[in-house]
Amino acid sequence: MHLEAQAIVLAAGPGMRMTTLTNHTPKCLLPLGTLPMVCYPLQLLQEAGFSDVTVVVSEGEEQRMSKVVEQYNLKLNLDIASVNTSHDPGTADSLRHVASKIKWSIDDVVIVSSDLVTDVKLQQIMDRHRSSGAALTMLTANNQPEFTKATPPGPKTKPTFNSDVICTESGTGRLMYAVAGGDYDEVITLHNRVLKSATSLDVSTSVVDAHLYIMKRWLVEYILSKESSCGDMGSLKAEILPHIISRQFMKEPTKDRSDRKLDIHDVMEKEEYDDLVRKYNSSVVLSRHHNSCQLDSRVCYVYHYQGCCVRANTLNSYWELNRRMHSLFEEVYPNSTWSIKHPSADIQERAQVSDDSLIGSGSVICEKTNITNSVVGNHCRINPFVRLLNCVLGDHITIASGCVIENSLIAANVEKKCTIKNCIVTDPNKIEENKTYMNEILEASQDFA
Amino acid sequence: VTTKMAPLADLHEDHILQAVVLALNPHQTLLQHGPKELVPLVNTPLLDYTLDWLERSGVDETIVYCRAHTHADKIRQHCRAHSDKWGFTTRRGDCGMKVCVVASEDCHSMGDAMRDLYAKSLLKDDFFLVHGDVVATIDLKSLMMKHRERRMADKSIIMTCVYLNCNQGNLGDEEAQATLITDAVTGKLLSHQRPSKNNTAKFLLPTELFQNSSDLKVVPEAHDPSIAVCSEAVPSLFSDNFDYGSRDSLIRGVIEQEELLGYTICCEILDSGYATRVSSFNFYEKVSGEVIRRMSYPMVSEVSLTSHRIRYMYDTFTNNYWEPSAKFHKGSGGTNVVVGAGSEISMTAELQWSVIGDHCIIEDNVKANTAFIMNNVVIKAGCVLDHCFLGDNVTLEENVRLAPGCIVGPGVILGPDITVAAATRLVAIPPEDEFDQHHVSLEPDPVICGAKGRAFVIEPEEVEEDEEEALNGELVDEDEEDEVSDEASDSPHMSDEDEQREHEFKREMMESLTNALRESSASENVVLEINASRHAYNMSMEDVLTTVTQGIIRAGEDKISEDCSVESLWRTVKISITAFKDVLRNYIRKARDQVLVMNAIELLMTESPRYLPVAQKIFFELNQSFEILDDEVVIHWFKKGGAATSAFPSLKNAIERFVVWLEQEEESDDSEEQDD
Repeated sequence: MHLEAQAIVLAAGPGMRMTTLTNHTPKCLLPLGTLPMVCYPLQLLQEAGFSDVTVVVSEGEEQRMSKVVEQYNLKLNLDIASVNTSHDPGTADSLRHVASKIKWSIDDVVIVSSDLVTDVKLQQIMDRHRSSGAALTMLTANNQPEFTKATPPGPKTKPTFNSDVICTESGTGRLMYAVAGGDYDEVITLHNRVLKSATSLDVSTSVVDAHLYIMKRWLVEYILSKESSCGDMGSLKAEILPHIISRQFMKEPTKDRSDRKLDIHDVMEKEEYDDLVRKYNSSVVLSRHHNSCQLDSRVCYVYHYQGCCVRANTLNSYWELNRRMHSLFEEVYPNSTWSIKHPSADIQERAQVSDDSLIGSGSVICEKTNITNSVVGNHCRINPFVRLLNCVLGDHITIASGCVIENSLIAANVEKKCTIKNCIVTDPNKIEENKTYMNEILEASQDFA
Repeated sequence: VTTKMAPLADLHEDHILQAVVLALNPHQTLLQHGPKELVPLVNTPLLDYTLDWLERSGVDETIVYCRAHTHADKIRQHCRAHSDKWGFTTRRGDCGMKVCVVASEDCHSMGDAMRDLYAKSLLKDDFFLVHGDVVATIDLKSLMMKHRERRMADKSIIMTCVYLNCNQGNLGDEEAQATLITDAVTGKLLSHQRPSKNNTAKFLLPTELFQNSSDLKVVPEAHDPSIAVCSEAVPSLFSDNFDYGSRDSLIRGVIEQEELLGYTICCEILDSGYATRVSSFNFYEKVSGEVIRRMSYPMVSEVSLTSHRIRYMYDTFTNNYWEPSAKFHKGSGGTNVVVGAGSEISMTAELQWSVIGDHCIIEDNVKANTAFIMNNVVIKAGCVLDHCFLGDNVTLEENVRLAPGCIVGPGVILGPDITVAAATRLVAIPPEDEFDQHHVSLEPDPVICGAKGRAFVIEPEEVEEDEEEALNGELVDEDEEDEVSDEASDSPHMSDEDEQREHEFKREMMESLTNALRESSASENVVLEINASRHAYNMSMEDVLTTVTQGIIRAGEDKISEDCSVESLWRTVKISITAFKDVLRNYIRKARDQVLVMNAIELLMTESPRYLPVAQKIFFELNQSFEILDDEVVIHWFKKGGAATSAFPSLKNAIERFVVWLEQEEESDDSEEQDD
């Protein structure tokens, strides 16, 4: 059977923007709803018809990753590769690590980040990618401030980061320029070549790169080639993509191949009948095959999706996604065989669990408890007389009898009776009997580590 | 001018649609006589295109504003004829458009016109502001609706500028193109730049724009037909700011001082429609072709724009137009030709993309490609015309060849058997040489105009040289080959006009500084004055800083004699520097500005070496006393060889001692720090 596309999930990210949570659990396995985060992109791929997926995780997490599929009823064969994350490798390094696993018979490579939660249909992006003849199609979404600016528990912090800037050609969505937030200062420099290639440009900071890319196989080869300029770039988003985008407007190099680096022109592949079709096509619908179009196969496009499309890459969006998962789940995890309110949970008769709460599999909710608008992970135990309001609990968590927990993220056992408000708890040893905690991060301090 | 308006219009006075047509063009680009607005384009005066368009768009009253010289009378006469023709015919139940001509003696810019109209309070509500040489078919009514809707939502909007999203190329008119940055949601104009002559390879987008709008739209090469919908705030703003000359300076002022003035400008960038100004000869040629090609439909050549009746016969196959009285055979070897009344065209003439006026005679075997021939022109057998313009009453004897770009003024006689070089401008009356620099012969030179000819060559202005290049199709693609050449900046190119402007600006700055020193004005006021001049002359910050630096040093110059002692020179300079230290400080924000100050001092040394002995003192004062120049910047600048002008070696000698001392100071500071 001819495979048209191959999917790679980049799940080795260290979760630099949510370090309090990723000390013990790798980011891709953090619970979102009652499932690990990585399940969401995997389900997206499964829905699109993929049966095999390559996943890059950080070293030592292969076992946990391989169990995910089985545990959450996914029908995918995972090919798991691991990278050593001690030296903080970039996304490009992850990709290089699985270079040997990329099959040379395929047409396109789908690269998706493990933290993407969206209800977009991958098939539609793929269709657009093919009809536009793009070398690269990038999924973009509206910046959703309800997620990115949500207030997570813990002490108040001010997020100070610049937005990405994405520049597209008006009307066509051709990707003209992109720069990651933090990679620009007072001015953004656009080359004349870019300006001359479009009559009008949309430059936006309200659109975000969703970290889902579809690339032609030859482009991936170029990126992975040691001879190209991409050879020593670390980040896919901050370095390689801007490079690829800018190459759209460069002329063919005049120097001899031996005197210079590998150029995109050397690897670019045309489709078999492109020239013929272009020559004879007089359709009024503009496409890459229109005979007035000068586009070649280097072009990059964005696929802008207006619906739900959020990355759980910050504490803010991770928190807000968890809080809203009860209503989002049907859309972002369609045709699921896994039930987000799991039937195997043992909710005792006199326990009060609100409709907008999620209880994971095998959890026990004892009587005389009150759980409102909260997420309780798998295999948790909530003892009697506990009140949970607006909380998110991880897996395997026990809450001692009589605790009152509000608006908090609990990733460790709470074994003593106490009151916790607006806190993040990752270390069980920090909890003392009958105390009240407010606006704190209760984590193992660096001295113990 | 018309007083016979029916009172009907008065009833709807609050809904009157007004338009201002500016006919201020001081240049006589195409013809020696008459205002440019009355030059025929495809046998119809330019102004008629504008007026017809305004009338079609439902404008009730048009004010044609012109300078009061002989041209004003001609325009007035033309418009009167216009009004008599249509002024009182009823169209669709409405009254026809009222046209009045306003002229003013000392009007040099749009700003002057606006101030005058404001003073005369002739403008009552939102109005259209266009030039008298615009050929357009875009729908003004919908533009006005949009403008009013926007104003309902946001009172700060005072103007909507109209642009076309299509690159027309720079055909000898910088003002026809603009690089725009707008807010993609509100359409608010955030940045407006004209194409720069020193073609920079990069476009800089200031990221501070993202603070107020997250989605920007960048249009790199919008075509600017100078069409705007203005609110009554625009004339009053022009009156409040005497330094606003052109629309550009208004736009710049409004954008730069948005917080202060509280006004904003919106953009309407159209993807389709036809609108362009005939602002240069190249545009004349281009627009003529487009009218012949019917791109300006419904303004097509066979329909008279004054009577709206069919005036010409039209053959769709050859795209030829001719007046029924003309002797022209539609099949006689020509395409895209327009022939006026009573003209006789030989069957053997080969014409293309050409316009022939009334009562012309074109004899056998004449070849003309893109030739624009006015009225009563005689072209005898065997002439060859290529991309040229012939005024009224021109006679070309046998076998005259005009190379591309020739402009032949009215009454000129050429030939026989001569060839006129490309881009020659010929007139019938010898040009008056104001400066008496050249010997001007009163008799025509037969080498130039032929044995029977009568013509004199006038030197084209520099701007027109660019046009000539374009005419010959020699426009080079300025695309860079690879990234290496991107780094190399193009050599700056400055036209006479720029130089003139800079000179004027310098003079004015010198005057303000000298006066300020004499009257010991407050520095805020001096800064205000400088900024006003800066806007008026459209100077960059760098130019201002250079001029201010040199001006400050020289401000006391008039008080001392040429050969005074170094001491008294220094005394004067020091007084001036001390007086203006805050002025200078105001302009220095970054290290780069300090470098500019030092470059300016170096430049001053080339112009007047008498300041060389006090250079060291100036540097010392600016660095040590006023802390305007930082130690490191001075040292770095010095080491790099300053501005590398011819004056640097001598300046180097003059200030070396100071810089060495500075370095030592610096080092000792460093070592102290290390000790800590």
